[in-house]
Amino acid sequence: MLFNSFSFLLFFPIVTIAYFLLPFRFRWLWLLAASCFFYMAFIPVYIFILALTILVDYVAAILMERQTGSKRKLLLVVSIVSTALILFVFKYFNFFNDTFSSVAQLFSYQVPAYVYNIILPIGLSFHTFQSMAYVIEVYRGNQKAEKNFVIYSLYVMFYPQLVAGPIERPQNLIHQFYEAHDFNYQNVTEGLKQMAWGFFKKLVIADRLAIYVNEVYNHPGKYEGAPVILATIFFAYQIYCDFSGYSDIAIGAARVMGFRLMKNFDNPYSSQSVTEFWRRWHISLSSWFKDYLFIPLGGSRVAVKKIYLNLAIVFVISGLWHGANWTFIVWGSLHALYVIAERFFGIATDKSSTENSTSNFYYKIPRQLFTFFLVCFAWIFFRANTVSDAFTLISSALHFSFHSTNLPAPGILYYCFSGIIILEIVQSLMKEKEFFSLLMSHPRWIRITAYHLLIISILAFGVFNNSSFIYFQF
Amino acid sequence: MNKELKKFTPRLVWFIFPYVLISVFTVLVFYKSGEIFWFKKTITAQSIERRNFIYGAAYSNLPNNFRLVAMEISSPKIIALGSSRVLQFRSAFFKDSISFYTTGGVFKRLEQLRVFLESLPEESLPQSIILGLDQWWFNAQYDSMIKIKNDLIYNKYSWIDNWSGIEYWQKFYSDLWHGKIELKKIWANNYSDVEYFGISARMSGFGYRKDGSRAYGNIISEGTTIKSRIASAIDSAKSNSGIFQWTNSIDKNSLNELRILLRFCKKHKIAITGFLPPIDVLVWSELKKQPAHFPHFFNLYNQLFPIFRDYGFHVYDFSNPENYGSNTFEMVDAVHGSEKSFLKLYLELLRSDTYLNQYSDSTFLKTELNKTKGNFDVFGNK
Repeated sequence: MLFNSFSFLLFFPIVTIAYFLLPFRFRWLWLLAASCFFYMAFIPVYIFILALTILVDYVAAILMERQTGSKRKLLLVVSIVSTALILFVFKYFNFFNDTFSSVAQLFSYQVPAYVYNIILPIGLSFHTFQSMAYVIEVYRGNQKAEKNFVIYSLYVMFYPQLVAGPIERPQNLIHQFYEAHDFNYQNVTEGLKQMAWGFFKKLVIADRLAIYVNEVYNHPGKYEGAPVILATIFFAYQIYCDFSGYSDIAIGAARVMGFRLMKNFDNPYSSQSVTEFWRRWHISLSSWFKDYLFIPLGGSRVAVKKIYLNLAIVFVISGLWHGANWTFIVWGSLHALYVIAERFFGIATDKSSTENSTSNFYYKIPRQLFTFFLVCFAWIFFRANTVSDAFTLISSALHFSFHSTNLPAPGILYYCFSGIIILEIVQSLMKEKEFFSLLMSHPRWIRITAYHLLIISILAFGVFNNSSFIYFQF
Repeated sequence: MNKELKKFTPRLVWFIFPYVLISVFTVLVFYKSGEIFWFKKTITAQSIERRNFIYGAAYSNLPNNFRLVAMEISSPKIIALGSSRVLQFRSAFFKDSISFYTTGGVFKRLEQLRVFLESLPEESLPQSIILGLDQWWFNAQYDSMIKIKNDLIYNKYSWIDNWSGIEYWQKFYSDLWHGKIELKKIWANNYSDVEYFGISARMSGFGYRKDGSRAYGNIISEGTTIKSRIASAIDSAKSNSGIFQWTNSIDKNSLNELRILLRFCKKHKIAITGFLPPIDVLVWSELKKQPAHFPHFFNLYNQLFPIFRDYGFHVYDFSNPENYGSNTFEMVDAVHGSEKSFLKLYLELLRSDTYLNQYSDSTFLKTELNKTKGNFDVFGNK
């Protein structure tokens, strides 16, 4: 089920009201049933794949807790491999098969590339990583194996974050299912406000920008100069508003019921280095890679060359996580290159050093713009349909002409720029305080007017075409 | 009741009150106009009970889905299959005992026709199909020109999201604001020969009849100048855009797709009569000035003929309306012939295609044609 669908408009209040009305002992079951319904709105039969992953990891964790030494490790490996195998079959099989066939052809071997028409289960990469986080934490002894199967299933399937995160850690989420959340005015209103802001970002900004971006990126070579550059900048904002909008709705929906999910975005385009960007962008994924891949590989406590290698591995895998396509691998590799270069030149490896320098306006702005440029350049590969399309777009962008009148969808530019300006103003205000809490110091009528304006903007300027969230495909 | 809940409930009620009010008003207008309706009940009324009404929704794609299901339920013997350019075929073209439905306007791509036929249960398949083949379906660039893909026909039963998409509410209020919608007309229940359902039908008489054909109502009248009806098409042909985008060859994939469709029909014993639909005479002259850019208009028939022959079917080229005795005045716009133009086209088909003769009475049709005074309608909303 999409958050931006009519079905969700009915689903959300029904689930929430029933959640508060039900006695505590039935709430787990209710949430699990609601989450199953939410997931099955996509392709119902895929619930069995999810059930298989849940069952394997649930049993593995319980057995793992009882074992020590090599048996414990073996159970971890079995659990991770089986979960990863599902991910491989559904997401990467065709890609690797095709790549293998192409490489074989280079050496004059004819290997037929079998293509299986499998639809990727929605959010597979997200709940796979969440399951892995659980078994790794149990293995490390940081989390007790969950004996209650319903609670564990809910940890993987909790509907607000089931299909596109935030990728939660068991220590943060599981214990919350045991807490009796009474109706709390502040939680409910704050959650609803965050959801409204998320809807605004998705429907008013991201989906409007998508119209322009899709026209340019789906016709590489058709536009030159400014339109391509503009489309790339617009895509940077589109993907941010799309994904952070989703996260806001997810976090808000959970908060209404009293659950606290982790923050997933922290104004990433204000970063002064790509390293800092990764501390602010998709925080739940970047911290997952840090905790479960980068540090186990040796982290920063190894020789410099090994650190660079570890970073390269992490970013290439991160690219591959996003999709089985060379475009994502190039995107991940570019970010690896940026981060390694920043380490090599000693740029912004420490957040505090960045903050110290922020007093210097003339130092901060160019760095911020340069970081944004680097990130945008990498987005070209992320958004392009193929690597060859990406190079065509880069080449088209370089044919810059101020006289170009060949602008796609000029009618929506006004909306696009207005959306971005509103976003930047709100985010600059949000630097100091929590979301919407700024308004709390104002009289009630101003607050109410602001909330109504937000909702009216969504209704009047939102794009309601049931467009999927970009990160659903991952 | 929880203290916090006591504080929250009245505040929430006051907060959402204006939105509830607006929603109730919108739903009321939509319901009163017939824009929203009970899917199967309406289909039964139009297809089975043969109630005579025109259904024209302004804010949803439901007419397409509605008509596909209607066709499936009524299981007509003959169907016209194609884009909006087969919408002018009428059930009155056929004998009373022959059931007919045109699915025109639903399909935007050649492969959708096959997907649709394949999705029908065996007992709903027609005996005969009049197949309109848009010339631009054979331009390889066409795929990138259109936005609507196959999902259009896969979602035919999903009506809740279709109806309630606030997208339509935005358009509704914009139209209301700009005076395009008059509430008086929406509320009016003045039926004469036919009932009107849907905001478009109520406002302008535009919609679909029970045989699937399109009633244009007053949105296009014979009074409109020919120049204004075809101006944009001539510009497109000159500037390599829209449906008149240039190409240098006929798309082989489309020809293959056509073969698959014909093979399916042959296998299921469905007789096919194909034709290339008419293009306004003046636009046709414009295309003729640059034949190298339009092989999919000028060389297409020669490529289609052997393909149809291989499966034992026939195809006819009616691209130029003058070839079957019609003219520019009988075109609704650059690429849509009027009902009168299509009756002439059909009479020409009857003259050439002996198979279709069993379904129609050409003498009766000729008499009706001769009685017609205007350039557009022949049978009206009967």
